[in-house]
Amino acid sequence: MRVVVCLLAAQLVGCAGLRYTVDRDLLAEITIENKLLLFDAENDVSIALDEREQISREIYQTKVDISDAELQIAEAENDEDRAAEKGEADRAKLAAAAQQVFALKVDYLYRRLSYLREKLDAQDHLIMVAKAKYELAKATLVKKNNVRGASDIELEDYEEQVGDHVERAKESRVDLAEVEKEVDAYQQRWLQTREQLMAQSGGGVGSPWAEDSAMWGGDY
Amino acid sequence: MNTRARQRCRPVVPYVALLGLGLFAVPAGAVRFDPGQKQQDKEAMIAKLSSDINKVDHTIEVTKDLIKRSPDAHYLADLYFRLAELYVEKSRYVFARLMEMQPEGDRVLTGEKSLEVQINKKLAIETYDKVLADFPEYDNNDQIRFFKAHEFRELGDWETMSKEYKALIEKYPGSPWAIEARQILGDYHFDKGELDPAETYFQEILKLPESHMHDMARYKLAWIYINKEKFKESLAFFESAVKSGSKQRRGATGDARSLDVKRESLVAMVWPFSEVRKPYQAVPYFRSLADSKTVYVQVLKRLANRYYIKTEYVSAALLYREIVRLSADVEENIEFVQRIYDSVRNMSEKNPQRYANAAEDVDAIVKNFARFQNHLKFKPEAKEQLEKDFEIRARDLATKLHVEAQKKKDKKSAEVAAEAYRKYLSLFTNAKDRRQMQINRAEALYMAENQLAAGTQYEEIAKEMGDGNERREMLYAGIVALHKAIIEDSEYRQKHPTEEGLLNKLQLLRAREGLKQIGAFYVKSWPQDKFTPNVKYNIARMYYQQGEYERAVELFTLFVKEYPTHPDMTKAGHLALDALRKLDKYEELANLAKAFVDAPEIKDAAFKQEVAKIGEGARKRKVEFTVLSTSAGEFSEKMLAEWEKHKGTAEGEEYLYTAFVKFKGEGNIEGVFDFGGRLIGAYPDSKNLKDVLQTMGVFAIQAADFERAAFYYQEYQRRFPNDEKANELLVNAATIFTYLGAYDEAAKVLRQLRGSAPGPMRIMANEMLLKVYRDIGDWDSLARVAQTALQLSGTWLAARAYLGIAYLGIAYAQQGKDDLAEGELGQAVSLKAQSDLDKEALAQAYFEYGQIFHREFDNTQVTSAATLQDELQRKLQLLDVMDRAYVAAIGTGVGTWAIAALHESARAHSELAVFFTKVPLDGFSAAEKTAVKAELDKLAADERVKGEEAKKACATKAEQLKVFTRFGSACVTGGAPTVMGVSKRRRADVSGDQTYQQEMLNLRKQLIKRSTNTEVLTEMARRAMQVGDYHLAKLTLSRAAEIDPRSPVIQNLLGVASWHLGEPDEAYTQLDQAAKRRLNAAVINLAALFKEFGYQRLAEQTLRQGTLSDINLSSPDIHPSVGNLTSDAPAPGGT
Repeated sequence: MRVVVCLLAAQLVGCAGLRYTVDRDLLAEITIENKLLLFDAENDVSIALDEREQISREIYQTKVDISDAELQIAEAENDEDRAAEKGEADRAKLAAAAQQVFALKVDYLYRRLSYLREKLDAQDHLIMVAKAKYELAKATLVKKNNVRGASDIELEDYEEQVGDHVERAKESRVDLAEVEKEVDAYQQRWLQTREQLMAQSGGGVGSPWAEDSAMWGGDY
Repeated sequence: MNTRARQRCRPVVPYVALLGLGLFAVPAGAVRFDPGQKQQDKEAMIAKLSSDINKVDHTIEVTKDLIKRSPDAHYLADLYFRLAELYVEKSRYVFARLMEMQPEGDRVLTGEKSLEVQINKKLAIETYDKVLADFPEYDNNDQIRFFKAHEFRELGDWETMSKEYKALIEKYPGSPWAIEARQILGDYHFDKGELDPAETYFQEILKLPESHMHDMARYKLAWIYINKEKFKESLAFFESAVKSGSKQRRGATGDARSLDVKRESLVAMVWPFSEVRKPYQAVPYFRSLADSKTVYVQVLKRLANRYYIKTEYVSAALLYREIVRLSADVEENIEFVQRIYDSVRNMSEKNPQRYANAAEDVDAIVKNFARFQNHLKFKPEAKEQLEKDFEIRARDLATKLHVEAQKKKDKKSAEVAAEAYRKYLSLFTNAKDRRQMQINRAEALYMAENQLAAGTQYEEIAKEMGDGNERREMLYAGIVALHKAIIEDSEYRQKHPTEEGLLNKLQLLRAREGLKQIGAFYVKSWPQDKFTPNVKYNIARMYYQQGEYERAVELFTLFVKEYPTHPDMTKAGHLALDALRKLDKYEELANLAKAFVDAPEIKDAAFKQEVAKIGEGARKRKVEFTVLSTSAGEFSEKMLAEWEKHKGTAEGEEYLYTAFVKFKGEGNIEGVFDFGGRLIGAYPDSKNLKDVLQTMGVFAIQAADFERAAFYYQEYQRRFPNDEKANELLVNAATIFTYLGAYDEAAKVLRQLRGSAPGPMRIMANEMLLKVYRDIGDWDSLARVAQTALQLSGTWLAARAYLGIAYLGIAYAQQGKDDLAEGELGQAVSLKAQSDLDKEALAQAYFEYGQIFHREFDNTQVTSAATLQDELQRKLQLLDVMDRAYVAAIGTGVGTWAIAALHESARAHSELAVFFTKVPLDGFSAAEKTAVKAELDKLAADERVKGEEAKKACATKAEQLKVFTRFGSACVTGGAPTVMGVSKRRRADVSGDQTYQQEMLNLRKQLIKRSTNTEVLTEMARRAMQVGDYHLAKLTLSRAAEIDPRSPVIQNLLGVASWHLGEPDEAYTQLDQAAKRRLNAAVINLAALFKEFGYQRLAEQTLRQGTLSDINLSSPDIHPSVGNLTSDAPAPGGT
């Protein structure tokens, strides 16, 4: 029997958590033309992995954004201190408001980070679905071509495996939609407050133009 | 001797003091100990020397004794030589002991004390003399002579010394001792200032093979030439001494100190070099000659000092720079750096290169000052003073150059000045003018077009500043510099797409990030500043350039909103849209474009117009993307869904039209009809309908739905009457109607064209109309059309007058209006044919013209003997005119009318023959009767012959040309024709029942799926033929023949359909082709065609190639006339 049942799926590279997989050796005797049928399924796995990569990059970027926003808070604190020292009350007030805006930004970014992490988990489920479908495609192909060693393969097992993973993926996507709404709400709160700050500062602090001002390191 | 030469020259000085002056040189290094120790050492030395003297004395005694005991020994000369040497050795020990015994500081021996030394030397000289006298052949006599001369030299007896050396040279000129002797003699004369004899001795050495003394001779000669002020020669001798292959560096025997000739030469050549060569040559010249850095630097120092003393500051500075660069001697370098500075300051103000080395000079100042500062040897006060001095000097050099660069607007100088500032700033971190120097550097960099560095410098200055205007200025200058760096890089890359830019990737990133971050700080700090909009615009541009398109969209959009009248507003707007395009966000792009268009604060109409166009393009692109991303299976569904979503909008139209175009490209007739129909219905005014209607027409033809195609073409003309293709498509519609036998519709369309189309097309429409009426035999209409044509413009008259006149005449003739016909045809035959259609019309015109006279000829009969003469003459005249017309018709080469003319000509002559035989002769006498009768019989016989000949020619030509007309038939049968003429069939005469219509619909559906399916096309044609719609059948088969032009089945069916339509000539062409491909049905049909038109022989011949056994007479593939063959052939197989 050439079907590998992964008992320790998590530890075995190549099985990646699937109960039923088809050994690629079984495909050796199948013609290229027939194997073309597999390409779509294989491609879906690649796409799912690429999307996971994309989410990972977004997570990284969000962390950078958080650190930048914290820098902005520090800069606003500095501004406030300097303004207070010089007795510029309006400027000090503006700097204090800026701290609040950037704090809201940090809140929003943390929410977004949580959301992205959950999205990453959900993407893992989608990867499993794509992989399960790929195994099903292989199983179908070897059965159809009556490859030696394929007699033990039960397509129902593979179909059931796909079904299980699809169910899990669906559940995770439903939860995600809720979180996304929350994140949007946080973002809106931050942007609206920022809008007000921007109006107060006459287009300076709080405007999208000045978003990277803290990165210059203009403190003296 | 020349005093100067003495100063410069350091010739070898004998280490032994001159005895005559009572002087001996004291060995160096003997007096370095403390007094107590010194005394002990002195005593020990005296004791040791006394011991050595005793030992030598003992050896002298032993040697003397040995001499006594060996009077005949062959080594006796050696023993004497040894004895002389021992005397010399003893004299040295004695001298040394006497010197040690002298009081401290007393370095002169009195004559009394030196007596013992002199005695020993004399003993040695005597012994040398004995050897020379007793052993004249002794091998070492040259050496003995040299030593002897040397002893005289040490005794200060210069004259004897000179004499002895000369004798040695004379006796042993090639001996190594003789070379040394020449050297000593040269030196002797040189010291005395006798340059010429000295030169002679040194030159003599050079003439001998290369020896250890050659370099020394060269060195000495060089000095001689210096003294003679021949610097070029001098330099050459020094150079050859340095460069010679000899490794020997020692001086002559007996020289007071060891001498490195090469090194000494190198050092000494500075003088002649400075007289002969250019200063800038010094560095490479001496670097190539010197074998060590130390020597090289030493030489340069001498040379530099020389130039400096001579106030040649440019040259001095040049060499001091090189020295400072190489030398590690801090103290000395400090002095040299100062000299560099002084040299630069003392240079002519007109010298353009005065400050060219400022960066290097400041670097020298900085480095040497740093070394000085870190040196333990120097005191803090000295360091502090030097810092003050050097800071001023470094600042002075950099700023002077900077000022010059500014005056001359010299980029290169600015670059050097910037570098000088950099060096300055690297060390003088606490200088009070540091800030100014930083600003100067930034400005110099900017001027040198090193924008990135300038920007960075401004940024650095700003970082060290507190809030305020000055800081704002610095930051803005930084932003401008960085912006310029990016722009210049970008322009360079555009001009040189295959090369690296002015900035490398890291620099470009640095510039962009710098601009973004400084810009952000600037906007935050000075939101209302006059430069802020520019800064904002450039921030947005950076995001755009770095591919951060989402942020770029946000910022550019905000910019347009904030500054709707700013000069960069339009660029910002376009870049915002472009960023969205790069993100493939076409819906957002279209929305943003609309927002710009709708924004009342934006007043730029041209911008709004451009943006509207971009928005429209975005909508289209969005649709295209939807098409691309939709799988084939769900395409129509998806497109319709999108259309439903955007119904009534331009976007909705895009969805329908894009789908239509996709189906068109795929040749999907069903899709084209579906989406094309929807477009026509939903967007009746769409400009896309041109493509839609035209495409649907073409696809309808492909689906053999010809009436539908004609409808689309007419619709096109109706909707777009002014479009250039409209008339062309209307011609297509007329052609389709003509082929379909819908002559009235065709005529209607052609009349429309005749009325509205441009000139050439109107001519064509007229011609087509004439042809239609001619073919269907509608002579009234033909006459009307011809008359109308002749009333048309001059263009028509000029180009096609002939055709109108000809057809008018033909129409009149066919209507029996011979008088009118004669006039028109008479005019027509006098004109020249220009086309095939003209040719055909001409042939027919000739024929019809002949027929008018033929009819009169027929009607001309002899009524009485009295009128016989006139009537006979009239008949012959008519025959003549008629015959000429027929001959002309034959001459056209148009088969149909040539055969008709031949036939009628034959008939006329035959009938004339009969006429002659039947002339009544009632009024003549018998004799006259006989004579007239004989004459008439003769004429009749002639005419009969002519008639028979014409008939025969007609038969032969008809069979050859296969003319399927009643005339052709009559010719081949030789009597009555088997057919009475053919006429075109009108389609209106036929129609199918409902079942037929349904079947045709089903077949069309199959064609829609695959329009090139010839089986379906032939099946459609058969069904049409079964209901008598031969026009449709023929058109459908024509389409099938386009796809498969070699199919005999299609050709046969085309032949049968054409036959049914009264086009036997075309039927023959098609059937003949099919028969040649051995299709039995075609062979049988062709035989039947031949038979029907009287070609009996051809019919039988053809029939033999096929068989009637399996022929089904009810099949549309078989013409009904095949049934006529059964009487001549075995019973056919079919029913």
